[in-house]
Amino acid sequence: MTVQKKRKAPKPGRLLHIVILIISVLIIFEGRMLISIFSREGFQERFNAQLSELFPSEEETTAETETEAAPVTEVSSEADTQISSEAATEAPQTGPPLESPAIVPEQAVPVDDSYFSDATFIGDSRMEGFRINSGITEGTFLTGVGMDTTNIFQTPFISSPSGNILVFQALYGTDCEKFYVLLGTNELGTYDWSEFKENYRIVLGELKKLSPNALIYVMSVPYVEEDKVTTGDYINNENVDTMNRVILELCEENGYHFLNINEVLSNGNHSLIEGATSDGVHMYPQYCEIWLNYLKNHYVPQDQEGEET
Amino acid sequence: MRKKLCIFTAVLLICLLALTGCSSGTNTSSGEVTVAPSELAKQLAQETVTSDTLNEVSADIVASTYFVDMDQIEASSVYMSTAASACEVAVIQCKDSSYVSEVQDLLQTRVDNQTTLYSSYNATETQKLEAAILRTSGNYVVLCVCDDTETAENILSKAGF
Repeated sequence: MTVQKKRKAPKPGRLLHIVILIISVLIIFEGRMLISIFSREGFQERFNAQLSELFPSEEETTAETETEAAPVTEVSSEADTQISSEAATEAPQTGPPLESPAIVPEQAVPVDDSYFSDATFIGDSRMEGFRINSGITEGTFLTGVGMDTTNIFQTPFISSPSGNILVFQALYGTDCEKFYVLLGTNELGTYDWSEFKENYRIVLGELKKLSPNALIYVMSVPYVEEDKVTTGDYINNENVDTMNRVILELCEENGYHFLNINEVLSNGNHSLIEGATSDGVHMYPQYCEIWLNYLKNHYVPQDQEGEET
Repeated sequence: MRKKLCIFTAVLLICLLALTGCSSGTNTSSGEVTVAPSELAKQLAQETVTSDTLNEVSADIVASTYFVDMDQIEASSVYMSTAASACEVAVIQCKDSSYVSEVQDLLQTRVDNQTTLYSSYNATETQKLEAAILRTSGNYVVLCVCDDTETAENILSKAGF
């Protein structure tokens, strides 16, 4: 008699319970993750991401290398400081041939940042870039993109916790011993230079009224990299030179102190140092640091502060 | 037998998916953001901004730009532009969650102020500001004004925002 082995009947109920238990545990502890897989990216995308993580393609490797080479830098890093000092050494000292007693000469001993503790810096986006990227640690900055010698009185450029206010509202009640002013880039297309000069005279006059004893430093408009400028042909170095001569005249006539920062930012051929900007106008940190070094080396000594230029 | 195999495969697949989910570096299983502000800010600055170069700024600049009380900040990392664009990235980790909504409001005010300024100056930058991403999660607040908002969203999503 052959004994036929009885095959055990499958028990789908038990297996089903185990599966339900596993799924329940996963849903409870990983529910958020599962939702994110199916809702945010989709399964295919997630799968591709995992694959590319395991086997990075040549294209991605190249992209990664490019990203690493991208000039996202940390201002305070030692490397930057080194670049800055190297660039400062290499920068030609041959700006426009401006000569005048109003131009602040280089001093034998540089000041440190504490010199700027009672200073207010007023200016357009280039001054804003200087605030962010030069590494300056002292001073009050009243800057705004698009600021010029006329809209400074009408446009509330200055951010405050409660909204934007006018430059002169922000100055009200402050005790300022020095002003550093940089305006003009947004008016390079104003070919009526006498009108520009009068408008600038009014701005500086108002500052003088607010703080009669304050030193007023007026910065030259920095050169641009013409081939990178896309915002208008009028932003060119010929106009920058003309504007700076007008500003220098204004300083001579009113006893203001002219800071010719192009002495260190020029390539020696009436243009900004090549590679100093991304858009032809706004400078990278290392060039803002050169600019700051210039300010530290060019100031009016205390014993000459009351003297007219 | 075939039924068993199907069930086994399904269970295996679910387990595999669960394990790959756990391997994510920035998003823990409990959904908390644990990424360092400096790491996230750097990634956003590098991968979402193509029109300008962003640089990390000092704590003084952070305080004077956003008017945040630095005494209430655990860690922060802010990347700002050369002023050639309105792009900027801020990742701020508050010491206490009670300060998060105030920081969020201050960052929103910054975006509003910048939008007002750029609206009469540069339409392209105004669009970037209008598409600004402002997120909070736990004690973190993130602001990202950038060129590639899709990439920014993906980065933030992976970080747990």
